[in-house]
Amino acid sequence: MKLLTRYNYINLLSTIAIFVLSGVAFFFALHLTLLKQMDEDLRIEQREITNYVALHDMLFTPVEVKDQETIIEKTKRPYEKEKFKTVELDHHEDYRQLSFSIQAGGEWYNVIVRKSLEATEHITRTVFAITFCTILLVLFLTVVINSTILRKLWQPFYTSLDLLQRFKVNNREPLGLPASNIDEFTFMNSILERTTAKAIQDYERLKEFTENASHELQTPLAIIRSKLEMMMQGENLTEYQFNALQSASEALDRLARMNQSLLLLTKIENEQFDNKSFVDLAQIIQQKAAQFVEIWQDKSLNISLDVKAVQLHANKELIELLLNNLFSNATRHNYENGYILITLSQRRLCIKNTGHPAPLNRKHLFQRFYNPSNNSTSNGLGLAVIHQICTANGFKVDYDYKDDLHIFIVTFINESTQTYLP
Amino acid sequence: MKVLIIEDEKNLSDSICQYLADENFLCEVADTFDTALEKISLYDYMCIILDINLPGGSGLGLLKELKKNNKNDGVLIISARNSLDDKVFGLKAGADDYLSKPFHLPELSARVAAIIRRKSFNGNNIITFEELQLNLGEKTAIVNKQIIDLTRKEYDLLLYFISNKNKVISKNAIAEHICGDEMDLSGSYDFLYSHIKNLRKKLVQSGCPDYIRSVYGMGYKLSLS
Repeated sequence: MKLLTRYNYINLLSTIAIFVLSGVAFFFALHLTLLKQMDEDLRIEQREITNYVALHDMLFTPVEVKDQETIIEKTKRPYEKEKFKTVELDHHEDYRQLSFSIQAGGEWYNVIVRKSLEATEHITRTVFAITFCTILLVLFLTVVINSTILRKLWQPFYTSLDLLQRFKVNNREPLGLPASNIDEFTFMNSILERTTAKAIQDYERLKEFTENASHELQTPLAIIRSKLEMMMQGENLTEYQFNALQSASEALDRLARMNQSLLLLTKIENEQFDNKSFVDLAQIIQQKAAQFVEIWQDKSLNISLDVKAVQLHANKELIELLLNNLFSNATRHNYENGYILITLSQRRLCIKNTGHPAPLNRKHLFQRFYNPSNNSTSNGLGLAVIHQICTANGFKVDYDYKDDLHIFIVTFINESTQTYLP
Repeated sequence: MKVLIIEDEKNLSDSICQYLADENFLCEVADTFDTALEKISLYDYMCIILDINLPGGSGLGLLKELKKNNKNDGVLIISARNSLDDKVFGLKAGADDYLSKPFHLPELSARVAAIIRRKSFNGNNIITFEELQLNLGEKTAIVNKQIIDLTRKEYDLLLYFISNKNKVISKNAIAEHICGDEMDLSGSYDFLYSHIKNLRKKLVQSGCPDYIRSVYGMGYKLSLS
C-alpha cells in the first residue's frame, strides 16, 4: 500500500467518524432546542388561557388557527399534572401537545394545546441535509487537497527513491539527489549520498584490487610457465619428474585461465567493451560451432543447431566470449554420446545439454567460484562471465532443468526497469 | 640473427633467451627503459621482444622512438596488461605482433620466427626440416617434390612443430596455438590427438620418417630421433 493511500485511508476514516458523531450530536441538539422552543410556545398559549380564566372565570371557544389546535373538555377527572407529549395524529402528522387542567366557574376542564411539528421537522431535515452536503464536500476537498499537497510535499522523497532505484554501484556515478528545504529530506538525502558514495568507493577498491592482483599475477605466471617449459626440454628426465612437470603445468594452465577470467570480469565491469555494433548472431554461432566441431566429435556428442537470422546491437568480442563460455560449458559438463541442442530465435538463445542428472543451484549458479561438481577442470568463473556479459549487454540469462537437460536461456529483450511514481 | 629482449623480469628474459638460443637466435637483454633506448639506437635487431611496463618508461614509448628513427626492426609486444587498448595501440604504433602474458615459449618462438621471416624474405619463402619443405607463401608442405594434402590445421601444426624443432611442446601450448587462447578447453585436449595422428600418418605416407613423437603424454616433439 502506498504511503498516500494509507494516509488518505486513515484520514478519511477518522474524518468520517468525527463527522458522523458530530452530525448525530448536532441533529439531537437541534431537535431538542426546537422542541424546547415549541414547548415555550405552548406555555404561552397556556398562560393566555390561564389569564383569560383568571379574568373571566370562564373558558372561551377556541379559534381555529393553522397548525394549532386547542381542545377544551369539561371533566370530572382533571389531570393530576400538566404534561408535554409528542403525538402522531391520524393524518400522520407529528404534534407537540401540552395537556393541563383548569378550574373555571366551579367546573374542571381538561385543556390540550397542540402545535404541529411539521415546520420544526422541516427545519431539522433541511439543516441536516445542508450539514450532510457540507461534510461530503469537506471530505472530497480533503482527499483532493491531501493528494495534491501531500504529493507535492513528498515529491523530494519520491525523487530520491527513483534515483536510488536507478543507482548502480558499478556506474561510478554518485546519486546526485536534489536539494530540499525540508530538514528530514535533506537529512535522508545526505545519508543516502554518504552510503552510496561509500558503496561506490568500496566497490571501486575491490575492483581495483582484483584488477591489480590479476595484472600483477600475469608476470609471475609467465615466469613459472617459461621455467616449466624449459624444464620439459631436459633430456634425461625420470618418469617421476615428467609427471610432476605435467601436474605443475596443468595446474598453472588452470591458474592462468582463472586469472584471465578474473581480468575479463573486471574489464567488463570497467566497461572496456563499450564499442557496440550490429552483430550477426546466427553467423557467429555457426562459426563457433565450426570451431567446436572437433571437440564435439571427439566426445561423440550429438549436436542440433536450429538458428534463425538474428541481429543484435552488442559488442562483438563479448558475444564471441559469451558463446565460447556457453558452448564450453555445455561441452565440458556433458558425457560421451550426450546431446547439445542450440536454438536461436528472435527473442532468445537457448542451449540445452545433457550432463550430471540433477539441477544446479539456481541461486548460486552465476556467482564467482561456484563449482558444485568440484570439477578440477572448471574454475567456477565461466558462468559468472556469462552472467556479466549478459548484464553488460542488457540481456538476461536464466537456468532451467527439464527432462534431464540443463537449459541456459539468454533473453535479448531488455525489460524496462520499474520505477516508483507517487 | 640478433634478437633484443626488453623485459625487466630477469627470470623471464633468461628463459626466453635460453629457449631462443637453441633456435640460433642471438639474444640480448635490456631491463630498463634507458638501456633499451640505448641499445635500439645503437644496433639493429631482427626482432625486438618488448614488454610494456618497464622501469623508467613505457614500452610503447620505445616503439614510437623506433618508428621515429625509421628503424625497421620487427617488434613483438609482450604485455601483462591483457587489454585490447594496449594491443590496438601497439599494433597501430607499428608493432608486428602482440602476445599477452603468460605466454608459452613455443608460441613466442614461433611468432618471433614468423616476424623475422616476414621482415627478411617478405613472407614468401620456404623453410625446411630434413626432406620436409614448407612453402609459407602458398601454405603447402612438400616432401620429395610431392605436395602433401594437409588441412589448414595440420599445416599450422606442422609449421608450429618445425618452428620449435627439437623442443617438447605441451598439449596446452599446441591447443592454444590451434584454437586461440580464448577458447576454454580446460584439459580436454583429446581432439589434438586425432589431428596429430592424421598429420603423422600423412607425413609417413609421403615417405617422410615419423619425426613427431609423443613425450610421456605431456606433449609432442618434432626431432630427428
